[in-house]
Amino acid sequence: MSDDTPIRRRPGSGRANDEKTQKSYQPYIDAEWGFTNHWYPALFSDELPEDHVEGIQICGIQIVLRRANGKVFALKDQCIHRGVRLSAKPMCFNKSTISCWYHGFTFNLETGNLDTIVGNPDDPLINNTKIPSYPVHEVGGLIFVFVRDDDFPDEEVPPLESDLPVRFPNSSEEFPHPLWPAAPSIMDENVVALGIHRTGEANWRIACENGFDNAHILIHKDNTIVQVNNWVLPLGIRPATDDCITLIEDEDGPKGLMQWLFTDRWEPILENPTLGVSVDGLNSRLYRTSVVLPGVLLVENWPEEHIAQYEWYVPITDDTYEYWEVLVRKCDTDTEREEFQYRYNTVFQPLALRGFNDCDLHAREAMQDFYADGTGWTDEQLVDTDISAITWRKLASRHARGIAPPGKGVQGGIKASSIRLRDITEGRSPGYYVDKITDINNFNRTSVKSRKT
Amino acid sequence: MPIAVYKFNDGVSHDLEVQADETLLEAAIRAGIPVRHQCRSGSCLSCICTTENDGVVMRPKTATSLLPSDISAGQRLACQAFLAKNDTVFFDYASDPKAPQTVKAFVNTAERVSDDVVRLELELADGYWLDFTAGQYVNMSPPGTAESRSYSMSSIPSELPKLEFFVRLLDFGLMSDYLRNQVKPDDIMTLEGPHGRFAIHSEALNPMLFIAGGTGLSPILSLIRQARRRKGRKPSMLLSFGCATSTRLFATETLELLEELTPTLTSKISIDDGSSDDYYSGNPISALLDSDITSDMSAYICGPPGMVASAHQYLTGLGVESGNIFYEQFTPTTESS
Repeated sequence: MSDDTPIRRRPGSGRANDEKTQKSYQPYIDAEWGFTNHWYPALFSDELPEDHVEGIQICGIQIVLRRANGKVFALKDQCIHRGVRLSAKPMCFNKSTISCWYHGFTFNLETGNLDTIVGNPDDPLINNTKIPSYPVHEVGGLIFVFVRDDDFPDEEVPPLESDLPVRFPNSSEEFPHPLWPAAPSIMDENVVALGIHRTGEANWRIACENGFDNAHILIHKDNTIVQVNNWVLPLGIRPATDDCITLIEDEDGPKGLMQWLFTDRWEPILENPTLGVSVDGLNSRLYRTSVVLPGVLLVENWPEEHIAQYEWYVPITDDTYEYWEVLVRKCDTDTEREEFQYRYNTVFQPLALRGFNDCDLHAREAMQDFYADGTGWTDEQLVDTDISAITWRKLASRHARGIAPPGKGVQGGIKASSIRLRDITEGRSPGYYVDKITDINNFNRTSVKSRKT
Repeated sequence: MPIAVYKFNDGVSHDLEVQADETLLEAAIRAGIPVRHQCRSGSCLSCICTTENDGVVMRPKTATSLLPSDISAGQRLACQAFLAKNDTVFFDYASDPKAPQTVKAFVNTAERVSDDVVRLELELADGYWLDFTAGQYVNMSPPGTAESRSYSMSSIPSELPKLEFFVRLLDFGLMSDYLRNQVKPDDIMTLEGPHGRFAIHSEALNPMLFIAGGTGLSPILSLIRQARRRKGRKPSMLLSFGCATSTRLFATETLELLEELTPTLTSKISIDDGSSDDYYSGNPISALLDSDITSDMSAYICGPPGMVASAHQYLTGLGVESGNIFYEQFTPTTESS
């Protein structure tokens, strides 16, 4: 360094945390790009048929998935050579590798090893480098990927179940549910999982905290599925005792919290005398919410008996997340499957996953600007119902296996890149999937100008 | 066999016999000499070096990214270069990226956290960096003096550009006088380092024991903060930390928080004079039970020499292998003026 007068670094991106109150969940505040070293849903199984290649992004890590001989493989979707996404124009010469379409760097699907280079088979780099690989677990019609830091060891990858909600009836004694049957798990036999996933424009934590916020019931009172069922929701639900939340922290199990809704530990609010508002003939649907790392919501007994709704808020960047809504039901016969599918198509998808939860998408987006520059975490003024969110933040801080660094060299790392701006101008918003090259002879952009002769 | 001298810009050099059929890079890798490299095919220029003589020849009839003028100026690529006769090759970078250097840092905060301890937070000035390993120390000079004292970071590399220290105030002394009377935010400190071999010695999952006396907690905190960031499962960690009196005790809130965020960490806090019921009475060794100690532990000890010696004796007596006990001794600098 020169001997010039030292100068202060430029201030960072401007977080103004009150250190004292926030230190207990500082790791959570730092996890703008998500928690790494956890299992996340990547695709529905039917989105990835044999030999198909797809590119996605989770926690600022681009990931390419390919199915070969029925098995799904996941590698970092960024060629070590010049950073090109392998998934942009899939090229596979056999069942055990994927090649980069640009210069032919060919990677082993299982290990990520550079097996060869199409036009340079004797290069010294071959077998001396690799791209990171990600463990995959496919179950119940979902493909899960263990999104890990590059140096996370294979032998310490935990089982998928440690990142899924508690299961019933195994946990029925610990968390009794006398008012509804045991909720099905995605890991159960003969379960059918039906759902959708789509991109939301908010930070993943904002989205996640909305899912189990008991005071947000107010936004749902006019939803069609509520009205058509003649459900009458309370104005709010307040914590009534100090044991209204139970921490889920078993050593090898999932880490999260269970809320004892529809017990005397939570009090439904039926009247607000200040406003002269009251609720008559309370007739709420009975449900219960729990959340576990890395941000998996389970809504038991919702939207109908024998069904559970799972939600994930998978970080894509620090301001986009992939919102997964999945309904799980045990269907032992073909008839049951057909009935579930029919009811999903005609009722649950339009009225619950879209209608009811679209309301939540509005709310999350409405919070985003407040938190986007980091100041919201300091400026928020919380009330007693927010113990759910704060307990979750502390628990997540304690048990998260890793904090994703800000995305580097990936989509969304630079917010105003020319490609992003052009895509937006052309009506494509930043999203989850790779932008594939479909017609190699046509760089199909509107900004082409030809020279008049 | 001819000998190549690999010289780096920090003055370090290695003499190595290079076989006729191996490149200078292959020989360096074989011998563990830190020559930067990537493509190994003459393209990327990572392994560029210079030579003043004609002992180093490039692979014949092989295209590389060196221009003819580069070659005549003495530039070579180690991955495509062979040694024809004894020669010296020069690499224009330090042989050890963590080699000590001198950097400038601003004071962010300096707060008295007990009767005789100041918590000092610094931030490296623009353009400076300090590549260190958790547990190491620097020589620190307050503004306006070239004299320095040694202090271990309690922070970890991932918290850079911020650095945290717990500094013990002596009755008088260079740093003590400065911290007691003069320090203010935005003061500029000079740091020289990093130094020291006190560091986490194993990535294995076996249990870790930490024993800290007084500001010996500083590097121990750094080690614990680093250990809890281990990829994969976290090792079980036990910290025994002690101070002379309850008014000299510090960092209890920091430890509480660290425990909160680290399910596998437990701590025992002791004070020598037994003046508080909240803590163990005695020193950080007497606070330990024999049952706390297992022979598969790695132990990390930092504090005054007497404490380090008795901790060592205590642990080896309980079957902890000497090779798994690591320590750093803190002794105050004797003031000459």
